[in-house]
Amino acid sequence: MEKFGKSQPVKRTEDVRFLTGHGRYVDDVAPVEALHAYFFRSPVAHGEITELDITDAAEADGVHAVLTVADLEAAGVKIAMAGAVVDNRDGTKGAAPVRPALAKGRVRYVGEPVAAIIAETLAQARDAAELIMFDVDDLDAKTDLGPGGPTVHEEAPDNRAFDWGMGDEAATQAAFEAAARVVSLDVDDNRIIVNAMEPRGCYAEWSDEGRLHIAINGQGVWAHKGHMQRAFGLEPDQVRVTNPDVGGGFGMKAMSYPEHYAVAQAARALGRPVRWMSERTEAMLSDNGGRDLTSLAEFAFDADNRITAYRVHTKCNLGAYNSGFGQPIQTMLFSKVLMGVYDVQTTYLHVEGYYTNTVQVDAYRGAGRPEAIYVLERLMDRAARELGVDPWELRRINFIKPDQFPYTTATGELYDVGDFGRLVTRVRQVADTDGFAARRAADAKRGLLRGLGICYYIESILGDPSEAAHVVFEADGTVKIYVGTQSNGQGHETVYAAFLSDQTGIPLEAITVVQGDSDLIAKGGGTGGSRSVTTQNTATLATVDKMKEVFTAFLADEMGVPAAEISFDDERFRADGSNLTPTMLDVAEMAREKGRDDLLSHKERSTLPGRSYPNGVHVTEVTVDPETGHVVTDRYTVVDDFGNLINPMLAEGQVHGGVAQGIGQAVQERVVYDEDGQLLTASFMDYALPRATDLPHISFTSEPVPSTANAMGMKGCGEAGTVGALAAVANAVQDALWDHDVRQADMPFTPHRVWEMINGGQRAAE
Amino acid sequence: MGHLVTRRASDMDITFLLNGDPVSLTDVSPTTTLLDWLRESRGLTGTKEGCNEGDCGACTVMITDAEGSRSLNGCILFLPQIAGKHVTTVEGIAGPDGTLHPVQQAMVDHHGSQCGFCTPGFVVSMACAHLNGATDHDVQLAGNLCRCTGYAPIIRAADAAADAPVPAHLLSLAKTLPGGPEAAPPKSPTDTQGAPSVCVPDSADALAEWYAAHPNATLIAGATDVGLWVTKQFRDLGDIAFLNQCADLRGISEDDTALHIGAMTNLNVVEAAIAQRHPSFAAMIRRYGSVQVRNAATLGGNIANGSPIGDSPPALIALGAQLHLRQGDARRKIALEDFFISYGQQDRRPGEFVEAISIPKGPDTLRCYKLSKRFDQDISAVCGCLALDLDGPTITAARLAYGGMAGTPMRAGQAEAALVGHPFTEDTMRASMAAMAQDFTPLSDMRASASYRLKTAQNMLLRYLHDMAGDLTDVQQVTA
Repeated sequence: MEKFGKSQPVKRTEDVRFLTGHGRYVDDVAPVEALHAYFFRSPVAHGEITELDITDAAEADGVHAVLTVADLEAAGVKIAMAGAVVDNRDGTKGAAPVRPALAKGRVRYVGEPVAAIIAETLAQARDAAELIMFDVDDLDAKTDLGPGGPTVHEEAPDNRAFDWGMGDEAATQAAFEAAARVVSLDVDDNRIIVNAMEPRGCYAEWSDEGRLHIAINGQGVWAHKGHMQRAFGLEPDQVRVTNPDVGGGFGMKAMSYPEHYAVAQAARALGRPVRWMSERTEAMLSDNGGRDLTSLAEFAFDADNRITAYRVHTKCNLGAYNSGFGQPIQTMLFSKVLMGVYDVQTTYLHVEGYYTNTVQVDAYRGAGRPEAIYVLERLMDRAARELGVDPWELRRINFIKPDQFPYTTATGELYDVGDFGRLVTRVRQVADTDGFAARRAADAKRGLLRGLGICYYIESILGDPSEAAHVVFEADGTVKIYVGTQSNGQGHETVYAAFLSDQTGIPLEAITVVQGDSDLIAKGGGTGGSRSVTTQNTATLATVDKMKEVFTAFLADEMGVPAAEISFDDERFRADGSNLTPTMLDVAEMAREKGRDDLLSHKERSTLPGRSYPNGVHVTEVTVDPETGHVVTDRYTVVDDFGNLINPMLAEGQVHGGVAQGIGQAVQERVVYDEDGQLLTASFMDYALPRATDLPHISFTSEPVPSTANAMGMKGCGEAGTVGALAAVANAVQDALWDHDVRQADMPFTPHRVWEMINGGQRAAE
Repeated sequence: MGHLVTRRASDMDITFLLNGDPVSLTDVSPTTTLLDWLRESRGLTGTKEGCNEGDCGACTVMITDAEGSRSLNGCILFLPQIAGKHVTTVEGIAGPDGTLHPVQQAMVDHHGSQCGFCTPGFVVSMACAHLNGATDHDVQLAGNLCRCTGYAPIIRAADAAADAPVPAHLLSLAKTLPGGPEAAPPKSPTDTQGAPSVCVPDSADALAEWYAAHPNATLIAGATDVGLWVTKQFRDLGDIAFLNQCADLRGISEDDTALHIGAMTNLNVVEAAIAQRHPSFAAMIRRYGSVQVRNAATLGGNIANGSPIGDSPPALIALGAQLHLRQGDARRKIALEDFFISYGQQDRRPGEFVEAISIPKGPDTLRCYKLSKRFDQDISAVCGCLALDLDGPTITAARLAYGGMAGTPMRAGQAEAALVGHPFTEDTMRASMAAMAQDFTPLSDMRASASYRLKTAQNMLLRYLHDMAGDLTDVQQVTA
């Protein structure tokens, strides 16, 4: 793809900063004079607050203030945090109980913030927290996923937050009744703790004129700006939100959190900057979790092994309150790729959301799409076994064929292009699937069980399809490009600068990417849903087109030739009959000399004409030691159709990291709450984040079918690795255990759980 | 998020080198961690806090002294432990002229950094391994967590940089030391009335004398556990002694009958010393602590701490190790298994400390099996260490020591009895496995059920039989 980015693995401009210790993360840039905030959190999962006495804490050494929800309300702060709500099947709205910025009346999960202690030093704030007198009337904790049990919110009878459906239930039922064969499978999708290496943090400061600046290590600034305006009753120009370097977000950092409100209010009340940084255990207790759902999935088949209908009934865990997108994740977002890459128009998705006395559950890398593909591809694997059909063949029979594109799915998505059979052919070569039988036999001699797993995934890029790019020519000969997306480590600075450089000939080193400051950038969509590079580069293209147009008009006068005779060859403007061949930077300098400042700043906004749909195949082989239940992910092969790659090195990095997160969830990451709602896996000793030895080297091959939904023909790549990995690994473990009569193989495949599966399916008391 | 403990009366004066510059601190609290001091007092924010308990490695720093350069977790390293040493942080890894270190350049070339937050810790770990010529990258980097990359690009970067020369400014670190650890002992004021006492003894004799007078004191060896008492539990430690200046408690010697390991010998040194003699034990040591942790943690601390889930005691018990205890001038020697009385209780008298551990010499029949949900640095569900002596086909002695099966590391007496005098066959092993049911009544908890623990502990006997027959020898294949 010569025109767009030349598909070169340009090395990252941000790397030197990170590698030499000069990254600027939120806790590195807090004002030195800032006071420290420490949050007193609920030690119990469920209870009515009977005493909250902060007197002694407030008088402790170094303490400037202790804030409770009463203080927030007295100061006029609107304490109810925003959470999206879905429609129920009966037309009513899903439950919307108040989620207070600090606990009010009742506590509903261990780690729920109850009070903020503000002191000169963190140690003083911590010490003071021990002086808070806090008592509750304990209530039983609701920890299971399903209806009934102790009531978490009166607004949600039976603890059911919503009852959502999509599709034609009756037609689906009719298809099942007419089916030649029906295949069903229960599929659990375990909860994870996101564990970005940098925990959450923020600092806030107010100007004398009553203007708030809050710095948050988030995934964009504009949503937070709106939340702050509403909570504090401020006008748009009274709030500035900044977003410094961010140590990983993965969806978890996109949302608003209670600490932002308390820190902002404390800074206002005290007239001093206030900073807060989460500790690791605090993060594990209070960051939004991911996944945590269980589904019954069913296929109806005709006599030719064609799927005639698909039905999924899911129960998902929302945690204690509606987080920002808790309700839409397993409903709206799940539905985007419900039917995956298969040509089936009769589907029904039924999802119930439940409250529990655990921390909120929200977006985690892929947000609904890994969950949907996981269910679908597990069932596909099971169907192949029950029908006695080769799993590749069963998929091929049911693929949407290349001549069916553009294809509208049963859930209303318009897939632009795809050639799934081509990717299958490629992956079978790269993964040497023909050699699997010999590898399995060799392992059997060593007492190991080897299994092969397949997942064909598709995902839909999400988020705001609009974005703006603002290019400014500075007096010193450099160029700034202001972007509305937000890097969380994906290398946006490099990609955007390289793209602008390729399109304009402006040297890469002259370009600075500016992001994450609501004062400098009026509007933007942040990072999420694999949207960033596609939307941002589309906006950059629009801006570059505008630059060419107005520069050409300007040059027509300067060069004395008609505008129509001036061309731009991605480096210089040229016209027959003129010796002048100025670059963009030259033209900007000419314009500046002529006082044409209007030519030094260009901003265009563009909207993607359609979504694009990254897809691909993951093939993995695992080994299982039947004596201990230990699973090793041995071989891992990915063939992806991301359309045209803008920077192959960074795309591969995204796939690799995404697969790593998928393998982590599938094999070792496990969240355990006890029956009282206490989190037992609240440190890195107990929560098994993968280390270097736990992960295989991953083979990545690009097999592009360029998208028609954007000018670059690209598709987005940030989440795809995770979307494909879960089912690939789980199907491989299931394959290894099938001959041991294991029929229910659910993640995470920790040694103990796998051993229990092999030895009669007994589950240990958890 | 750092914090400085400022309450202690007995503040200290400490000098060291930081990225080439001398630093002299006066009146610092002895439980200030290096990480907190770097970030909050020195404004060097490249070193990150990712967990504050030595699990993630984002705070990794390089410490250089007369014994060489090694990586350590700055979050559980107290300032008195670095007195007289050279500290290199991520800001000091590139050359003085800004030239990237070979590992930094390789990280750029191989896209080894995404969000960049764990990156400084990786860079320091990699630079340290590079300096020391270590190329077992998975092991060297097992103490650094990354959530973005999936590690392979980082491993590739480490590999690519391996042959590049060590930059001059890092080669010269040891030469620029202020004169070795002994040259600049941290100074603490003499006991002020009522204030807790801080002692930095320079010999076992000095420690013995002070500890006898302060029997309730906390002894800080490597601080890989005591560090967490401060950073996580905010405990006030009371009287404390830092043992890192007791050179005579460090080191390994041997005579005709045994290997003698000083209590303050760190686990990397122990691992190197036993790698030839007891490779299975050495392999387990590499698993249960990262390089950073093993560079700090001491064998004596590992034992005296008395944790029921420590992994070295079962191996040492299976090897018939003896513990050398000292109280004032009185010394005694006990079998290691007798040290562990019950959960949280050890046979250690007031003011008595571990001086050394000795391991009898003999043919290596030890095999260590550690079951955990993750290969590296995970608490064991079960840790079994087995050693059988054979005379021809007959088992003449058996030592089966287990962790995770009871409130202390414990031998399986019934199972051992079922082995001795019998031939080394599967039938014998199965009889012993059956007998083991009388030895242990393990708990069910989050890590494993009682039945899993017992069954896998029993299965280790079969594994041992296969191992000795040469069927499976790769540790990677026999782990969980």
